[in-house]
Amino acid sequence: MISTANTKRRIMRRNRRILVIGGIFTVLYLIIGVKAFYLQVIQNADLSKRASNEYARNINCTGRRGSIYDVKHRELVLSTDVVSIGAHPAQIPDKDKLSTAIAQNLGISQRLVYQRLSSSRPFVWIDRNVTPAAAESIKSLGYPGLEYIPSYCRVYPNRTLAAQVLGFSGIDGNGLEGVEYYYDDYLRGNPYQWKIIRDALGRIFEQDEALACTQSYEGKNLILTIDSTIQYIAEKALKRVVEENNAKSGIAIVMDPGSAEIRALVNYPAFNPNSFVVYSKEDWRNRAITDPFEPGSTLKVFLAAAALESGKCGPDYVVYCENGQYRIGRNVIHDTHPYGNLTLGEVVKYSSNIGAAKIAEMIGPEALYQTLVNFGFGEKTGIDCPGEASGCLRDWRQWKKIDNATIAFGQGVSVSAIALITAVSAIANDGVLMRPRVVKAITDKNGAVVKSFGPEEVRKAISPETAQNLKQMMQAATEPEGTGSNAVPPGYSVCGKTGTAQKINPDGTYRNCQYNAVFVGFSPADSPKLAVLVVVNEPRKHHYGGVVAAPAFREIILETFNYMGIPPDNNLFREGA
Amino acid sequence: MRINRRIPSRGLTPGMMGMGILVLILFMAEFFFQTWCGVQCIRTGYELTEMETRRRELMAMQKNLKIEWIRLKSPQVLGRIAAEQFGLTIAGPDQIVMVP
Repeated sequence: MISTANTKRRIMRRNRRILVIGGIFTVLYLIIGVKAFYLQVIQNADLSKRASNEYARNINCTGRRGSIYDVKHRELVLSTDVVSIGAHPAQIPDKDKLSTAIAQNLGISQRLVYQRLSSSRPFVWIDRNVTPAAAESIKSLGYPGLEYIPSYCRVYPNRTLAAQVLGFSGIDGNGLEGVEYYYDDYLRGNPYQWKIIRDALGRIFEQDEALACTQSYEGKNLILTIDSTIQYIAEKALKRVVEENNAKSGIAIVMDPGSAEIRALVNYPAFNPNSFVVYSKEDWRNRAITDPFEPGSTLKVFLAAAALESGKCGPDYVVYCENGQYRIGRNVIHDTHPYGNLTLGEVVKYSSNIGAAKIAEMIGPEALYQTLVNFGFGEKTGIDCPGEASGCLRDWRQWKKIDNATIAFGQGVSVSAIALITAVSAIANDGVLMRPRVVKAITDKNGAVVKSFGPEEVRKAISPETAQNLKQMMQAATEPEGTGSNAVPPGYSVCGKTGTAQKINPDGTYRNCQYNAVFVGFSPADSPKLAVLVVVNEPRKHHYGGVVAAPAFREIILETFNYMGIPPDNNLFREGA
Repeated sequence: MRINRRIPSRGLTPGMMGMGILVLILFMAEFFFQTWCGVQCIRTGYELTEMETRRRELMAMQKNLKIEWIRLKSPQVLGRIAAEQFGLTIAGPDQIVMVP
């Protein structure tokens, strides 16, 4: 009995112990469970956010800016990867040591870096657009408080080539000049955000998938009508004549007269858009678009057009040129050489001011004005470049008698270089005025065309018959005894016109001994492939358009036709011989 | 009289023990497998990041080489080399022979 009772007591004690231990464990598990529930459920959002802030970070970026290509898809502008280095000055313990290290690696002033690191602002830029290798060299030093933000930098590999057409973009990737500015909305990349997760040692453990598909944020590409080889030929020729004549500057434009697509647009002196800040703002300007000038005798071509269109005279209409002096009221008009009777064609060929003035008197101001308006004088061409000037052509009702005469030989009217070559191209194009363009198409990152720009007809300026007569007159002007004979390369026929225009002071008076030497024309005469304008500003050695600008025209035509594979005409060689 | 009554045992039977051990082994195996997967995932994450960084570096290098290549084949450079190094000039129209 006693034994049974002891056994029962033992069993009961054991069960009590088990219960106590079980109870303790249950309580402990309950505490853990409650705590786990509190952390995982109640505090979940807050703790996740705090943890995420420790190891995850969002970086704001902008997609790569689109590239710019020439008409043959050769790269003119592209973007490359760079890193911008910033700093949180409050988090940097030894500013002196860090500024020395940064200055050594980036090749910038230690004092400047130190000043930036000593700033009271929460964030400062140390250097923008640093090469990835240079950024990596600083990163490897392991200093805290520095930020490395990936970005893109614009590169112009051809340096000064077509600089004023291309323009440039600023440090934040915004277009500031040229087509970079005009097409900024298309070129600019889209903003995006990517997330990186770092471990306790600061190593990147995971990157957002967005990084792998940054291409989808890239800007659109531009295909220009510019041909970089023709651009180079034109730049070389213009540079040579400007330097040879000690001129101040020069402009050259090469255009396809059928479509009015610009093949080359040159401003000399040029600038390097890779380092545009070291050049003056004057050099940035695309003067072929923004600066109107008096066209001088090149306007006689349009006077002849007005005369023919008026129906009051034909190409053989004879005018007496007063042997070099002609008085209109109190003013006397002079010719460079005294002439007697000249036909309309010869007035253009020999560039007689008196002949032009008398023809203008004969047809009247309204006819001349209307023809000039039809050729686009006094209005913008609508070219896709920023800052285009419209030139100046007053209403014919405001013209005095002398104005009618002077406008006939290109004084008292102004026109931009682009408007002048567009008007001359209309003659080559059988009288149809086209809208000039520098951008042919906009493509996406895969090269698919998003938008394209075909030839755009503005209006019919003159009849095809008038255009044909004008071509003959312009071709005569480049014959050996014409003013533009220096413009003709051997083996090719040229239609052209010289111009020598005195420059104007701001008060409207003409400057002594300061001229614009101009030559504008197209070639070959029978089926024009290219129209070229050369303007040399303030040449000091010679100042006649036929002496200064025409040789550049010849060089451009000769080399460009060679490049384009347009053969010389053997018949012209025989005629020359 | 002493009654020798056997108290029924509440312990596990060998079959249940075997089943328990098997479950425990499975549980531990799953635990180790999950841990291994986690480690592999982290390692792959680092490798991917490293690869991505390398890809970006190579892309940047390719871009820089492309820029250099564009620079070298630019009309200015080619024109200068052709003229200065090889003495080449543009063929004059009289030097061009048209093949009929």
